[in-house]
Amino acid sequence: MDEKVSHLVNMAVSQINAGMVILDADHNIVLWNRFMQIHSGISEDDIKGKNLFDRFPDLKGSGIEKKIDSVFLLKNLAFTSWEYRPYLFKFANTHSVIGDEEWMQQDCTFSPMIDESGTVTHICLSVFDATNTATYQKKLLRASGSLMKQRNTLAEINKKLEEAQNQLLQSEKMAAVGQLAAGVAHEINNPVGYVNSNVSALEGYINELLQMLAAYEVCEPALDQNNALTEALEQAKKSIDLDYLKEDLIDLLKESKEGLDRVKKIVQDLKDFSHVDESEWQHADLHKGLDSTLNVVNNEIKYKAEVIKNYGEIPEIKCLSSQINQVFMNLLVNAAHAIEERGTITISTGTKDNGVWVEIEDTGSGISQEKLPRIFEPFYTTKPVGSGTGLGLSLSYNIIQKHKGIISVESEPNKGTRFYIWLPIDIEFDDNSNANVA
Amino acid sequence: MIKSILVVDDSKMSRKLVIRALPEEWDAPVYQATNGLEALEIFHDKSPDIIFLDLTMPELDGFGVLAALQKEDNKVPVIVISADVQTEAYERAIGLGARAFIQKPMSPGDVRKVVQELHLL
Amino acid sequence: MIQTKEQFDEDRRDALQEVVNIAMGQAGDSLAKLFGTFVELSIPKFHLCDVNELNQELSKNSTYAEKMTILRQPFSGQLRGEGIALFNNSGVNELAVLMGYEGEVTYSNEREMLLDVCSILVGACLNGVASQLGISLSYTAPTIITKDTTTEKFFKPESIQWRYAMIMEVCLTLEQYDFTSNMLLFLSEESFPPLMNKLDQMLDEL
Ligand SMILES: Nc1ncnc2c1ncn2[C@@H]1O[C@H](COP(=O)(O)OP(=O)(O)O)[C@@H](O)[C@H]1O
Ligand SMILES: [Mg+2]
Repeated sequence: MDEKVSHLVNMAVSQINAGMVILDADHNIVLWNRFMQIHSGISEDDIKGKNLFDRFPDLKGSGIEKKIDSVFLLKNLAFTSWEYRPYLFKFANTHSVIGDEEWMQQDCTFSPMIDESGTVTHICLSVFDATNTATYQKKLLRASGSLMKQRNTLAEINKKLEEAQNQLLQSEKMAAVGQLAAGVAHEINNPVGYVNSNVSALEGYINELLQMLAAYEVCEPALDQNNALTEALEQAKKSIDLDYLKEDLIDLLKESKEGLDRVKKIVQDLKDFSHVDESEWQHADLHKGLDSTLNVVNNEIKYKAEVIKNYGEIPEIKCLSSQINQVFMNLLVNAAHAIEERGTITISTGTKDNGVWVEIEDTGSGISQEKLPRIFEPFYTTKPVGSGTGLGLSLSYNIIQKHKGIISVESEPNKGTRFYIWLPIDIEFDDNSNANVA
Repeated sequence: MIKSILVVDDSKMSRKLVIRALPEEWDAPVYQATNGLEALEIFHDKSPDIIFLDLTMPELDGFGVLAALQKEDNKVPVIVISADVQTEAYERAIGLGARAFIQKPMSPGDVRKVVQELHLL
Repeated sequence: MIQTKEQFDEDRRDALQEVVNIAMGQAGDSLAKLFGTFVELSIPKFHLCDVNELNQELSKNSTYAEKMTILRQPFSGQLRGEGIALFNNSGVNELAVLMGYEGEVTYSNEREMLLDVCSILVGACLNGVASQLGISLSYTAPTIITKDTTTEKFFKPESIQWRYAMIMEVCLTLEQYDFTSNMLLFLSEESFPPLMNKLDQMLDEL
């Protein structure tokens, strides 16, 4: 190379906007260019001939020795990337005004310097400032991280929507069941009606027959004592156990009538509960609603709680009674669930401020102060997966809202919970209200 | 006095390289084998005076050939020429009686140098 | 590029196989010196294949069905292509010791170390080939492409740029350390003519 070119090469090495360090086989520094001098604050004279690892002890034991060995042995290139090793040399950040990296982020390359015989005599280490890239990359990572988070939230919401849809399907199913129940109730009503009137007639006839029998019995002593007829009569009486029969007949009739009453009641409850024929605002007796709901959920309650009714005097109110019944059902089922062994559920009613109130109180587990504000949230549930949907109370809340009523709760852990509902007697709609839409 | 030569290598190119590098003084026929089994067959048939042997080969590798010769107590000089240049391979080959070890890629002068050292010229 | 398969005749294939075997032998020796332990390198296998046949070709090796970390290092010069290193994620801690990382192996250490090994493997194999063929190559810094993927998921025909390539497959094992890495060198189509030329030169000298 002529002298002029070699001078230019020296200039280039000095001026190039990247760090350049040359190491010999013993890791001693042979060249330390201007970039390195400026950023390290160490002059070339100070560092020339010094061992790299002595001057920068942090590099020891971090895999750099092997990298250098591999370059000497294999004549390959070795690299470091800011992503996994932010820097090789701790230089102050070049982007000190704007930017959040404290130290200059570096990409470095170790290249072999090979002589004519094919031996690696030196290693050229180049250091590139990657702070800019690193900053952008990190911003990008953060952005994609928050996108990821949003995506996850969306996925979660999606899942909840799916659950809500299931719930809706469920309530549609319930409606269908209600309709079916109403149909069945109607079908049962007719036979039950004539069985009922027949039993009433039967009761009358039997009473008359018994009177007739009594009359005959009075005549009995008038018969000849040793007559064979008297004998036969005695025999027959004994064989049918007449006294018992007379008693049992009365009981049987009584039980049958009770049974019939119960069938009638259940049929009526099913009709009241489903209210298929009544999706419009109508005046309804809340006591009837409470009683029919209690009957429907009887199975869930009877082993858990004794139900005490403290019904006051209340007028009929204008409401969507099937929906109000749904609220009662939710509250009653929750109350039963809250009771672990056995307890009581007290239902009280009364009037206040042009409205009717209903209180459902249980002696169950109660709700802690932190959880209390959350129970009306949709999907809030403390019950195991599959048994609670967390929709009961939120649905109830919406229904009461639609009725322009109030629902509130008081609770004490380990003592019990009291839900309070107030509903106006005569709900008034704004002109543009669509409250009619169920 | 070398009257015949056996060159064993699965690579045709390598065999050619070896044959080209043989000393001109040896005006002797050269037999070729592409694996260890073939090599032993030719060896027993032609009784060459020197063998150039590759190590990594299909069927029977160079170590196998060395072991077979050692078992027969045959003292024919074997020069291993192999790409497997880790010390383990070198030690094993010498241990099995190889007289010299040439590393691949070999340069043309390598063969001459080795046979001179072994006083086979 | 159908003629490529024909171009790659027996003599050339033999020559390339020998060149590569020799390169791997040297690589093995250097790696053994570097790691201070016996290194086993499999005999390199060649595949000449269309991108659509790639997975079928690779599925012959059952290790590729496992989930692996995949790295790549591009190289350029008279031969162009990419080295793809595949790690099955075992033996990483032992490797860290071999590679001179002291203390606990952090996530970043591990990543850098795999990059080191990728670069070492690619360099070791290709430098030997390049020096025998009398050409020089330059290398770009390696990168980690994916973690925990199977090759089949990774090499999707639609996501690969080339249609036809030569693949060289080598497996490195450090038996004492339960460490294995597979390396695939993809040689792009435009590298065939210069490669064939170089091989012909070698064969002509015989
Ligand atoms: N009477 C009650 N006693 C104790 N906790 C209750 C009671 N009623 C409701 N809760 C709490 O409020 C949560 C929400 O109730 P709800 O909306 O009906 O959903 P779900 O019953 O499906 O869990 C319940 O999981 C429970 O933790
Ligand atoms: Mg509930």
